[in-house]
Amino acid sequence: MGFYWLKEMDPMARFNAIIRGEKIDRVPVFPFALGHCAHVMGYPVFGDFYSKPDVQVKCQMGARELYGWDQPTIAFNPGYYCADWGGEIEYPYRPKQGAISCKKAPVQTPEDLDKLEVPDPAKVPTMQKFLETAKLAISLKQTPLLIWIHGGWISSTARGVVQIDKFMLWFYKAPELVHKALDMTLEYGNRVMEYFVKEVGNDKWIPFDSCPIDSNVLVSPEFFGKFPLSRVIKLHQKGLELGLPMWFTHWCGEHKGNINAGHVDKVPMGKPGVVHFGSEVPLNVSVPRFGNRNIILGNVDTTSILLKSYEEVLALCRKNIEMGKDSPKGYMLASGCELPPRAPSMNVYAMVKAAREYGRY
Amino acid sequence: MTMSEKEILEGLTKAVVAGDGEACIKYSHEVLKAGIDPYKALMEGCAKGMEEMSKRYDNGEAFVPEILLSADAMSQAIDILKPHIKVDKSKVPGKVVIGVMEGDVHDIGKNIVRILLEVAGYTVIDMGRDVPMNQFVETIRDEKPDIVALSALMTTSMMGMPELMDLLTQARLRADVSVIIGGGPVTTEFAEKIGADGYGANAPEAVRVCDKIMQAKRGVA
Repeated sequence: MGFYWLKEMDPMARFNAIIRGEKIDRVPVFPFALGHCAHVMGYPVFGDFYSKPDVQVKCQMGARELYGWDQPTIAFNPGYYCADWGGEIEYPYRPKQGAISCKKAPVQTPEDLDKLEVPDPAKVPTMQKFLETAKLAISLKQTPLLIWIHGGWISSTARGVVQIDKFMLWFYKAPELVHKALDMTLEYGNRVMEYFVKEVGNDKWIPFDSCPIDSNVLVSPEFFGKFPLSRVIKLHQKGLELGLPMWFTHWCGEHKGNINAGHVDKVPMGKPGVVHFGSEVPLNVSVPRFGNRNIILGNVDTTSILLKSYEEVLALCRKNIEMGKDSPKGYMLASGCELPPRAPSMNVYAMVKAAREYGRY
Repeated sequence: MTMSEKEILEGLTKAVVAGDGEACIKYSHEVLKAGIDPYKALMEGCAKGMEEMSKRYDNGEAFVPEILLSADAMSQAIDILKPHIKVDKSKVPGKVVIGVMEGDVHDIGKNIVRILLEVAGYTVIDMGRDVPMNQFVETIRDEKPDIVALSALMTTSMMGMPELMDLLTQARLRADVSVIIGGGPVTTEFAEKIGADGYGANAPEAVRVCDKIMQAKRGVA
């Protein structure tokens, strides 16, 4: 067949076309690659990737060129929405670490929360690096880029701001503190969006958020509806009011309860938005339910990409493409969560190969 | 009015299920006042309540906040009852070393497994999160547990599991300790591939896997 893909659309052109509802040549591939980009660029550990703007952008551009995937550059907050609030983070400079982590949340007690103030993004040191990442990507014409915006979710609060097990107990013992903390992270999310709009405009980026701790492995749909949902709706409304084109939301983990309760439908995403569920929610659930209003991503499970053979991964990708390809507002082949940083390159390539072989329009 | 043993134990169970710490304190004092064996109160009152919560979690009727609330209430009963318990080692089902793999700080799942193992009567040594490999090996050598329970939420830390098992083999410890694994990206298939002795898809299942392992060990013995 020769190198027929040399005649393909450029990956960034393909990504831009799908979000605008324009015609594309094949299913785009969004592997949700972060640490893997640094891995294939020769970084033995991922600390520089998460802490240095130039490394973050360079690695993502290089990996996209290497594989031919369509994932735009993602600007990741080097403060992890934890250092922003005075929390303690650790960059992954040890070989066993796959990502940045929050070592100590600033709020351990109700008194800590009382003393806490919503930060001004312009005065947060790590925010300057975050902005630098975005500006660098834009200067290299990596648009639209995805910028990680976090606020109002349990995931934006019970990790980086409040110690998670304390937060979980507050649901019953001190619900007023849960409401207060969620309001504070919502306010910060709004401020960060305003800050980025002021600095780089509203037409070059898409806000991206994810919510693993809001999943129904951890909290009930009832609690999701009672506590974070109204804040998430406000955060997304604010983003759209600021003129941002859409939201890109990774509903990380098991969210079937939140789907069945109608919560997910209530979150404004833009027209269309981008909805990416974890592999716990297969495409035969997400496409019929959300495909009329959103671009759907999914949904090859990460453990398979890490451990199965190239042929098996290719077959899984083909199955997903067949389920998602004709989703009304568009479909991108994606892994169910972050691509395992040290996944075998051929298994990652299998995603692109499958899109080329089975995802043509 | 004095309560019967049955009423007191049922009261404890209900208090744990409801996550009612004050009721746990009240019934624990009743246990001591009525001269009920505090170990029996712990196992047939409190632990029964946590078993009910495990079932509810399995059925999607309870979630992490509810489990933590029950555990928090139960801990108040334990504080009162424990000083009066004379541990009969023959009643302890087994000893478990538990921890989250190196490079991984996600420990909420591990914490719930620890709680459920403790209420099931296991002696649990919790090594915490982001545990270096050699620390696992040293603890297993020193403590000689029946089971080591490993947790990982990230694929990078998950890959430390086979590595640790190799280290246990090299240290000639693997034959004496059963290894069970769990966490977000971990699957039965992965457990089989690396030669683990068990896999728990969630916390209640992890306890059932430990029970099975201990039954098999006792059967052999």
